[in-house]
Amino acid sequence: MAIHDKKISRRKFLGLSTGALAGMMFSPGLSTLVRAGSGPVDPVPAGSRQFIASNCAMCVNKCGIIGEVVDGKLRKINPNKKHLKSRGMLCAKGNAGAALPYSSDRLKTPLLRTGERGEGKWKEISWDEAFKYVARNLADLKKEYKNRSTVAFASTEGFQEEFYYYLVNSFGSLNTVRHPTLCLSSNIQGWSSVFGVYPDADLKNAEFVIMLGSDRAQALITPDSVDFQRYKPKGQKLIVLDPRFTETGAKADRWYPVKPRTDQAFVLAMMHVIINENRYDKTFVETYTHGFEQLREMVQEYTPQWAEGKCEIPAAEIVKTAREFADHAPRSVIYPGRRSSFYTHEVYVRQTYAILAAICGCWDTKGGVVPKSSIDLDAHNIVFPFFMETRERMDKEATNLLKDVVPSAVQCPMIGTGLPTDSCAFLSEKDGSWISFREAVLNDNPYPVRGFVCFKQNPVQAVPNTAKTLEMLKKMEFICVIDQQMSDTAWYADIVLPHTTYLEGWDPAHSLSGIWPVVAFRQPMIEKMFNTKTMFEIAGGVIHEMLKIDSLWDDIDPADLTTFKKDIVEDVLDKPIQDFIRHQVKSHPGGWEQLLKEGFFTTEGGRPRYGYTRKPGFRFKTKTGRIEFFNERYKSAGLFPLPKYCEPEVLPEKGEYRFLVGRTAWNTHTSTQNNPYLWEIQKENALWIHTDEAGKMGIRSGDEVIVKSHIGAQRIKAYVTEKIRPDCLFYVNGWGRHSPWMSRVYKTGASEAEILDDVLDSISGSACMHETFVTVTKA
Amino acid sequence: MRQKRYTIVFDTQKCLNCKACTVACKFENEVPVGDDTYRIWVTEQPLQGRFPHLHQAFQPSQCQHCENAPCEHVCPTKATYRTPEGVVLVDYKKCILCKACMAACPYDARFVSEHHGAVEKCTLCAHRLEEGREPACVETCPTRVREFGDLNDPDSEVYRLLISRSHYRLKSEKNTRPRLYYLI
Amino acid sequence: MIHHNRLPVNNCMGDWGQNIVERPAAPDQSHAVVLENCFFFSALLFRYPDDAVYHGIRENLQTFSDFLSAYGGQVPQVPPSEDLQAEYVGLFVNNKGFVPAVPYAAYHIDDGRLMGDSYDRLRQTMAETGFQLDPSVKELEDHLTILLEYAATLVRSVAGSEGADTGGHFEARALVEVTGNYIQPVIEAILPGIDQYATLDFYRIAARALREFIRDTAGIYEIIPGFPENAWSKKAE
Repeated sequence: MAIHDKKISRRKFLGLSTGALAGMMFSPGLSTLVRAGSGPVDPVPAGSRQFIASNCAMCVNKCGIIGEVVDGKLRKINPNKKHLKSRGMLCAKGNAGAALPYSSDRLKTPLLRTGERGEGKWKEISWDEAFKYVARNLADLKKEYKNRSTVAFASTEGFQEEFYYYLVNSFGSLNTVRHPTLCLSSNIQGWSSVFGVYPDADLKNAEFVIMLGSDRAQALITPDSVDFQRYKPKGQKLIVLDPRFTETGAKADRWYPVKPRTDQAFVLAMMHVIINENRYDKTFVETYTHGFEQLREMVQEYTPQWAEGKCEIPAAEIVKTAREFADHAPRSVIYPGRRSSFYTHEVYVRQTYAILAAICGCWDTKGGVVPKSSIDLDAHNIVFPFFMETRERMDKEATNLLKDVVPSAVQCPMIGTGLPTDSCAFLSEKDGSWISFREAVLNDNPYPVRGFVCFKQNPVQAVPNTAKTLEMLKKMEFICVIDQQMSDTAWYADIVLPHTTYLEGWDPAHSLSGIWPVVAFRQPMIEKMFNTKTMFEIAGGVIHEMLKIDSLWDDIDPADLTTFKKDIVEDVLDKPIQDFIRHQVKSHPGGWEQLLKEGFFTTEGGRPRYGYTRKPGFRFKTKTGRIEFFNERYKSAGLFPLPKYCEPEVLPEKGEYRFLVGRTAWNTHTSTQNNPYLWEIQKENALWIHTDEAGKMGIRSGDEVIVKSHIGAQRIKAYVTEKIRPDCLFYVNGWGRHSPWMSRVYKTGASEAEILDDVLDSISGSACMHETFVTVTKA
Repeated sequence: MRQKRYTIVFDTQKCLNCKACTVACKFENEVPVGDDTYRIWVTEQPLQGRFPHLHQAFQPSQCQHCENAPCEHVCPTKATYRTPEGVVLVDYKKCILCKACMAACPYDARFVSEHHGAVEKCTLCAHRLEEGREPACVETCPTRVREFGDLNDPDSEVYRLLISRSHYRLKSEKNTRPRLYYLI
Repeated sequence: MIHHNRLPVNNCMGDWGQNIVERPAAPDQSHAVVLENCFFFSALLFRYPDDAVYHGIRENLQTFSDFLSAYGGQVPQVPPSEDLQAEYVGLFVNNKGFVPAVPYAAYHIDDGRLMGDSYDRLRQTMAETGFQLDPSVKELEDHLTILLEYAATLVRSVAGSEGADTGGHFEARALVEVTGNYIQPVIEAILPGIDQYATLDFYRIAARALREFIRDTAGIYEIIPGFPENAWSKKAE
């Protein structure tokens, strides 16, 4: 700056010097800054470098990570090369996790709503105020409705979820709802109907693999996404059925663009071939299974020619695939996969897959499907109080709920012929069923639910039909969201509690079950940056405030309260979380030290335990104790005992397309799109439309189009491609969310939940995300 | 001790197009977020065939650490140089940002780094090699598309791969003699 | 000053609100005093307006009206406390999906992430001038309000050091550094976001005043008694 300019620039200031400001001083008190050395030591770090082992939390997998921490800051997250589950790899999301603590978007301090819901007016409050606020609202709701279940608790999986349930059980609501019915509950249900459990696939040793609707190259699951390419035995064959040519399809020896909703026909016809050509494993069938004759009888009508007419895969290909599958057995895998929230009959589909594995004896043996093993941890011996003022969970107690929930167009032919009408068969009660739960709340059936506490779940974007979720939230007198970021759901909350990131705090140990089970935990890599807390701390804080409110404890045995205060509050929540973890691993000598050093440990040298169910006298968790082709429980419940082919209830009309849901390898659902390193890979989503269909409408790649279902419409750019069936459309989730502000992610692309129909698979309670029909027009 | 000759051998058939390597590289080498700043990349090769008979390959790539490196030859200040192990590096202090190397590189492997005030590119994570650690892209890959090692070591995996499998090098017609190999 | 919860509720809050100390300054010290006051008041403006800060702003607004109108063009209305808090959170703390005006310097100086290299250098500078963040404060040192408070403190150190052997050289350099290389990049970067997303005028005017004031500081420092001529780093000049 030239001297002349400086003189001009200081004129304004000199004007002030003759005024009031010159004659006074603010008091010299400093509040944020202190003299160096006057407070507890907080040295400027210099030259320190550490490698700290922990486990990733960017998605569900919990892969092993080693943080490189330089001068107290996380510089890089590396894969843990020794980790048995993640096989020493780390994906794009796991790498990008290093940006998470340093994101300006993260929640930093508790916020209390001061305007209307969704208006975006907040004030900062202290944690003490926050804990009081939550406790007081819980108490008020209990008092008003005389039913603790009037507060619903939603959560997604994660190590800290354990402590969320401390809060849930200390309040005593039975209305909990978790993620499985948006994901894999029908898969678990279907496989369990046959084997009593939901197994893993030994892709490391399988010679022949069929994947139906699983995109393991993009929807990453460890160790499967590693094993199916890195460790596959030489000559392993991969057959992929998917209406889209995914990255997994690109890796396949054969990709079949199966007609949506007909995968079951393909597999039924495979069984037809294998059974009629006597290619099944007779010894295995005789030794372990129940209902083979009924199965044999059922599959007679499912000829390859019949199946070709359904799934549009040539009969000869079905026969070839069936023979190859049987020839390679037991080292053949029909891949269970993970997400199965596809169709209304999905449980029967998965039951069909499981039966194919069973007739060929591809069970609990090297290269087949194998029951998960897990490593036992020491549980804390705690019993939560029994509360009198609690009613049964609403989606169980509700009457005729499903008739209201399942859109009438979809439900008719199936109801009474294989699907339940009243309530869902829960995997585990605490999982609930999102779609029917929401419907129950909307209908006050059987009682009003007026409080909603949500831990790291984002139902506004994750549950099909956003409008209904927002309606549900409107019914609530109290909404509390605990999350790391201002999610779409947090935006509608009354109070938002900021959760510490997985890189800044301790998480309890968990046994990650699988063919190669490990025990994993988390330890902080860096100091906490903001005024956040972990669920362990939040549960403790709220429960302490709850204990100050007598009315919250007036419906329990006073002796229970004493025990509760001692066993749960004093012995767990008031102690450092490290004590909790040490207790969990106390039966594993050196386990704690191993966790600190490696982030995980395993037992038995990490070797798979093949064959422990193939021993005389082993009882499967089915009604007969055997592997059931003919499911006795389903029979008593009025369901199909055998997985009969289920014709689609409704089909797309002329001009309609079936909308598909899928994933990429660089985003987790709706939670990571704002991470700059992942945003860089994909800045918006686009609508996959087949070349011929696009041609008919004059749509070219990059053109703006409107995708419309009867739920809603979204505007998005087209991606014209050969990689999708002409009767389907697809875009990936995570974009196009409504927001009063326009930011990097929020202004582009289209949202899934805004157009997805809320169709229900009433056996497993799962949402059906491929039962939505849409039209497309040029914008 | 025998002189090392470092290489990366790619088995692109295993590539999932998952982008783990590109994100790992950005963090490891503090490469800023941005479409024009990258040391490594994954190319989706053009889709082959028509529905339903389709094929697609994915090709990760980066600086090929050429033995006859055009970028080295055109550098007026000798900022670009080759280490005894064959790693092509840039001495940021000597770089005058004339960008001749960027024009000369047949692989488009270089970019201007504001942070370094120089042209930069893949270093094979030379700073990690000094500590006996693999390059970040090699380490993080779910399916081990890249294998890193010493071509002069007959016991190395890279040596074993190259004597046992057919392979090619990118744009070998340019006579750049790339040090990185792609398995067929 | 306090910041509810994130910044400690301690001693000096009342000082902002009520106790302007009428301390006659020596004539040659008056520039420094005014400068210090302007920095302190700016720190107050960009701090989360909990009750104490809010009252501090209200009660001192008249005193600083010359400052605000000279640099910001007008003296803003102080909206009701709840509205101001909502505005602060919406602009500087959390919004749906992003933060319109990120108040952390390193975010703007480095590459859009918090605690980058410039953050380390700031902590180093603070340590060298004898300061650190109160460990009970759960904030980052490069938050705009802390930077402004630090600048005020440095002005006092420089002015108070007149005649001393060191001549406040170190503090003066730090002052140049923190205003030119930290406060200025933040306020220049966030002003457009504030202009675009603010629903009230308060932070628009305050931010404009701060930007203009900071742009002028280079010229102002030279007239502070005790400010050494060689304090200018190349970059600040």
